[in-house]
Amino acid sequence: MNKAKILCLFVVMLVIASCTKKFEELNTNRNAPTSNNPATLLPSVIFEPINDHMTLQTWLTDQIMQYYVRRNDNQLDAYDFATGSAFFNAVWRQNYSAISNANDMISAAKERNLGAYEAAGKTMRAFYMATNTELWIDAPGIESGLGINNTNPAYDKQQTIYTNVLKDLKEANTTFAASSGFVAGGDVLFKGDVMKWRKLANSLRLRYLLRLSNRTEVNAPAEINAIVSDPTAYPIINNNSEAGVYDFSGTSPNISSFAVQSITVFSGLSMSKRIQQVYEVYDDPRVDFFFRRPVNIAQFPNHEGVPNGIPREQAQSWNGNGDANTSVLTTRFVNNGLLDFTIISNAEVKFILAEAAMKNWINTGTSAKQYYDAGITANFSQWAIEIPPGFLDLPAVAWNNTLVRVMDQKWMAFFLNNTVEAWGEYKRTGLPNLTIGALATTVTAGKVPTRIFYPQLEQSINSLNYKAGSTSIGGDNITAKHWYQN
Amino acid sequence: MKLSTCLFLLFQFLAQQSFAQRAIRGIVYDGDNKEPLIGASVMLKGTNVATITGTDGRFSLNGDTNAKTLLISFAGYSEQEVPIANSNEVTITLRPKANLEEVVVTSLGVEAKRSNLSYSTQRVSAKDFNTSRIGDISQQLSGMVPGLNINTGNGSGVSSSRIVLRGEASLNLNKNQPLIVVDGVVVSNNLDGVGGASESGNNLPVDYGNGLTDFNTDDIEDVSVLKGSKAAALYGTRAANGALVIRTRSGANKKGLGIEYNTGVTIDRVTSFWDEQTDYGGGFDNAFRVDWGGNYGAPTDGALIKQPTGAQSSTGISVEPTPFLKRLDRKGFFQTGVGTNNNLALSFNNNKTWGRVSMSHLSRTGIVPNTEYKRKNVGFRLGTDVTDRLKLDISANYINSSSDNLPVIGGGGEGIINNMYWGMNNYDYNDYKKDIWLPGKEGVTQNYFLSWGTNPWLIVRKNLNGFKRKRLFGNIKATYKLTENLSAFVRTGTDFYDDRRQSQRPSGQPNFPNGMYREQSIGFQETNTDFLLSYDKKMKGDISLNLNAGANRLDQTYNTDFYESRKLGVPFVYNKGNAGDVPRTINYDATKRINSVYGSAQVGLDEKLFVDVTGRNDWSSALPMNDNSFFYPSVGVSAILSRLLNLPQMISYAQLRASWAATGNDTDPLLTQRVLSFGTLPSSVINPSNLVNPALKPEKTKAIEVGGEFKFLNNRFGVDVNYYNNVTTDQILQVPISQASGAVTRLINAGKIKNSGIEIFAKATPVRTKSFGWDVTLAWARNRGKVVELIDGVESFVIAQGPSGGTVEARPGGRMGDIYGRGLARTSQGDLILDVVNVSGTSLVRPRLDNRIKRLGNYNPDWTAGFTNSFNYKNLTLRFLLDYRSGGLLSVADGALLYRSGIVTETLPYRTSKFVPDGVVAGTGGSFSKNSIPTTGQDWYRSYYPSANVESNSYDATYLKLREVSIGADLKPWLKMLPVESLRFSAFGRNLFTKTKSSFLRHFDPESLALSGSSLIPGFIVGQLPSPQTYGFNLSVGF
Repeated sequence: MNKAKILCLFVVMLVIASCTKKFEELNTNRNAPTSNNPATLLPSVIFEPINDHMTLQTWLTDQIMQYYVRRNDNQLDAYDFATGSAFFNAVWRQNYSAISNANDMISAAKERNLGAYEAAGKTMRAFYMATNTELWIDAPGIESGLGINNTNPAYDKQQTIYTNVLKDLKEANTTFAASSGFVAGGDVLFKGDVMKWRKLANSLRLRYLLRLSNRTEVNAPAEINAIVSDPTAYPIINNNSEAGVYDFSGTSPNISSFAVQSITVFSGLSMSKRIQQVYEVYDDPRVDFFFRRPVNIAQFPNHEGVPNGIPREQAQSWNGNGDANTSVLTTRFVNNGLLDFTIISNAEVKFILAEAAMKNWINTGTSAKQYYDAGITANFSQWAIEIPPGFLDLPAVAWNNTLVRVMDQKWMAFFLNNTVEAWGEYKRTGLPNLTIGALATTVTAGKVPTRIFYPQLEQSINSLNYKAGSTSIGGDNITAKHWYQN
Repeated sequence: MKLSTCLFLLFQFLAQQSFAQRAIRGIVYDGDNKEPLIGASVMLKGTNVATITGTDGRFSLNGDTNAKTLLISFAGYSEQEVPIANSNEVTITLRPKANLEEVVVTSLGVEAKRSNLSYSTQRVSAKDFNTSRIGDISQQLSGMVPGLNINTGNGSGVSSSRIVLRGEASLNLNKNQPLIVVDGVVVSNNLDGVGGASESGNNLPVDYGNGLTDFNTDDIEDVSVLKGSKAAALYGTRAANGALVIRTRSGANKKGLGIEYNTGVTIDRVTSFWDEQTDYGGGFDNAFRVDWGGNYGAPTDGALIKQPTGAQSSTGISVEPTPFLKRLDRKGFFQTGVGTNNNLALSFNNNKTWGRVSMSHLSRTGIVPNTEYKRKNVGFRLGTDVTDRLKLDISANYINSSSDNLPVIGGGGEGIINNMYWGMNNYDYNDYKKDIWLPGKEGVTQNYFLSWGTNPWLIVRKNLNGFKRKRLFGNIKATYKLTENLSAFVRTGTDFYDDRRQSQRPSGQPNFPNGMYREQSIGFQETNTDFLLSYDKKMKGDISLNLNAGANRLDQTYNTDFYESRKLGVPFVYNKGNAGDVPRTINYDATKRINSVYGSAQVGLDEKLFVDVTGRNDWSSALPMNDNSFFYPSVGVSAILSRLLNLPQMISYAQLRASWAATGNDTDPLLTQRVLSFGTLPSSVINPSNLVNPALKPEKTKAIEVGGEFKFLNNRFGVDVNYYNNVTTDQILQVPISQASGAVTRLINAGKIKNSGIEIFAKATPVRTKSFGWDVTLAWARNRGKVVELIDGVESFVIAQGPSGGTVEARPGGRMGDIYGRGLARTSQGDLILDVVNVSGTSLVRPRLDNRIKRLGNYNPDWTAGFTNSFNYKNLTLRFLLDYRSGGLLSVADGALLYRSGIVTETLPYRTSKFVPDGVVAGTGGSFSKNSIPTTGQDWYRSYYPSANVESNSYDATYLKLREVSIGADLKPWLKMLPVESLRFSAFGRNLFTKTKSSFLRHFDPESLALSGSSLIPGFIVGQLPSPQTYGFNLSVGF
């Protein structure tokens, strides 16, 4: 073999080595789809964040709104919100992820002229954005959910966020009306029923208008009236079958995070003192539905609640033995799909209308009392509980033309029906009356928190915007004031 | 065939004897220890008369009387010519090849003399590390190589190790490992994790062992540690963190047929665990409480208390009172692990063909009951000179490793350690051993004293995690000598494995109410085909020239298949068909190719001065098509002062070296193209959580190294010193972004990390006499990794998420390995801020936690030192190894739990009395006043050490460890009558003694780390199993 041959061989090797023809093919990802398809994006826009909302409701807002006490792990009940960062962050992450999916769905739907998907995207985006501003006040808004196009989104003021929420919902109603429906499938919320979607969008708009009704800029009374007075243009939820609820099948993964809790977790969730009052004052049958009386029934024949916001050791050993001697949350929703996720219930719409009628914002021919009674009835019927004769006339229940009464029953109706909104209504009205626990008092100087901390990662990763956002709300603390609070 | 070759040699020998005219006898000794050399080749120069020395070092041959010279050679020794003169009896002493002639394996498997190299390398011979055959080779190298840092997870049966050479250059935690090369083939050391974070309740990770755990250490001849970029420049992209180049035993250094058998036994004993208090039992406020967990309860004084046995229930309290005693034996739950290792090797060498076949079987039971690990290896080496010019070398290894059960690792609810945290002293695990289920409720309700904890016997007996891994790696290499100076080789090698895991969880336990079944399979293959042309020439004027040019193609495929159902249709049936839910399934395939060409040139001047340059260009399919080529050069110089200059007599050798090198790095495949992810519901997709980057650039590392090696007093003392400075830029990183974007991370080129450090390796022989020798080595290293730049607009990059909210973060100006977390709130004067709380009508004070996170320390040690001593007396060897680590922070998530549940003796003070903690309480208008409110120990420990308080749960990790003591004996001289060639016995103890600077760390093993998914996270321990002492012995017989 001579040197020329060797050189030849070497040159051949060089050529082979520098040949990169197949590289593009090698580096092509065949494991997943590459294009945005509205019909496959829609199920995730609806479903993905739901379980993190469920978890937030189960561990945080159910306790803040004093439905029950998580005896063995009540730091959140005592307002030590730093301990909840894991699932607060999960809600942030999932909501914005869903918003980015909704954004992509909206633009893909526009391109393909699929109005229903565009409108559904806007409806869900509005719901997630509104939840975000309820949880954090100022938060990434118009710049959020843009993926690679903006990895450092600025924070919008709550006013801006709510303005965009209302705009999205209004546009959604119109676009739905003109659309040809969910022609490509994928509607896991209403099975393609566009009218239900319109009712959801309009009912949500009612909710947020009411929330902002303290701000004259929003002109909420007139806007609410415009919706309510034109049911053809603005259909709203009118019965339980039209409510905005996601119906879990009960088989994993289509099961709620609430239902998969270990059964022992439920025996650690004791009825609150606040619910015990409801039982003592007007013996609401819903109390018996939601809570099981103490195991040690011989010694404690009645419902026994635990005060919220007390030191854990005290909660754990309430009545000597929290497990045996307190009422605990029912296990009827464990391991099945019986408990839905509520975006907005029929009862809530009724209570919104009751308040609007009471304040004379609307005049539909239905009185505030009728709306109020309908709200209570709707909630009873949601749980398939028979309303006891004369219940609506009980002194502690009967309509008395006060906001206190509306908010008491609205609060009862919010239980397991999106208590983030119960919290929102509390922030707006300070109702129902809650008693702050001894331990909680030391953390917030006697105030019920109004929000949760921004995710810790934002502090370092989106620091400039984080700083601007938290400065704007007066500091990243859990008692900052919402724009609508005055 | 090998046997026949031997017989042929024998016949030849006999034949020559009968026709000879002259008999020459003699003995060959080792020049150092004066022992007879077995198997040395003795040849009459100029004839074909040859023989090898026998077991006593003796030889005899008959030859032509005209023959004047004997030529004696033996691998590892300098060849020697001895004139025969008139004597027929000769005594020959062979000198081992001096250390300055030490040969290391460098890039591409090319062997080179250390003195010629412009960078630091270290070769560790198997006999120096393989005295205790435990764990993988990296664990055995611990403390022997400065700059090589090993952390081993705490598995039971098998444990993965994290290897870092010269500090962490990459912000990607998992990309700091050196390349592993076996017989010239790159092999995987992947840790293919399954499971979630280290505190997950029902998805804890399992350590199935990473790639290195597969290797049979008995097959290893030596390991060359190539630390710097320069050393590895020719290995290309993946060797930026250095390389461990392993040579397996080939059979070439023993003539004739050889049989070797090694058997060993190891015993893992749990000798220390948490230092528990025994005075109080389960409960709170000095009173027993049912279903509580924690040990602030009643004193264990034998008082009669109602304690439910069997399954917990709220009403279970109404049983007969029994004496309240400390009954729980946490340490006693663990068992003694037993390991056996048997290895049989056959080797042969007839000068033209040599080879070795080895078979080994290893079996270990872990310290966690019902855990085990088994491994079978078959190794094969064959080399042959097909012609004078053509040489073939084949290496193949087949490995079959498996386990029926390995434990989950971490502090979450499904783990053993979580049970131990919450176990109440007044119960006994043994009461729940026989019946793990309530009678008639198998798979429905477990039998245990905590309703929310899992019976540990259920965990170890029913929650199984098994695996089966089959692996094959090897290569074929053909070397052809084209001319006297020019040779070429072509080689193709592959590493292939198929790893199948499955996890089973029966229903009826709190963390898996419906049960769980999971299967995961991983397929991996990497094939490298390369070619190298080498030109070696001594020119006029004592100039030597060495040129290399070559090319390589790398093909890698990786695929995974995953299935998980969290609901069993029929209880206790673990099959994909038995899903009661819609199971989660996903598969993933990826391929990658890298083409490379490279070359090197070295010019030597009279064996005194060497200058070399290298260059390599890679084309990677993982990078964007328009920017996938990257070139990296290196240059270095080595000057052997002791040959260049006239140095004082006491300096026997001195070498100075300096080098500069650049390396590039690509990334994983499929990261340049956006794809959607599958959503939770069927027929749904979501935006990916990681944003890809179609404009990626290759990473770059530039490294400078200067060093020298000096030997004094006739090589009795030697020291090798290195300073290095590596700068890595344009790292390809998954950088966290604001999750408000909809995604979690994006892939970018960013960051600038500088690692600089000093390494010293000193070797001394304080005593060397004919029968006694004492050798000492010291490996000392210090590294500082500095984050010079990060990413625009990003203050911090979270490298790893530890347990309890602790993080490892890179911040500009900070160091690599900085730990961040929450800590105690203090006033500007540094006083602890206490909050007054009302507990059951009594005011107490509790320290306030600061909501902000701060830097708490760094997990890297300030410096490390490994100190080995070996004493040889005649045929006995005593060796011990000490490891010292100075500084560094260890965040102990377990610590919070030990305080919270009142387990350790630290929680004994103030059980029944109160004390006034130092600190201040807030008054009105931002003022503070000194605290005067007393509190109870119980409340104080629980509020001072909550999990979220990463600061107070972190400790100075300084420790001194007696890592190993071994004693070896060469029994052959004592048992000469046995028909064996060699017989060695060794006994060892490992992990014998640990002294930690922080007293609290006595509860733990300070050098462990946390396993989270596929990452081993240093600086954190969580759910740590006890670290056993290991004893064992080995017996080797050679024929």
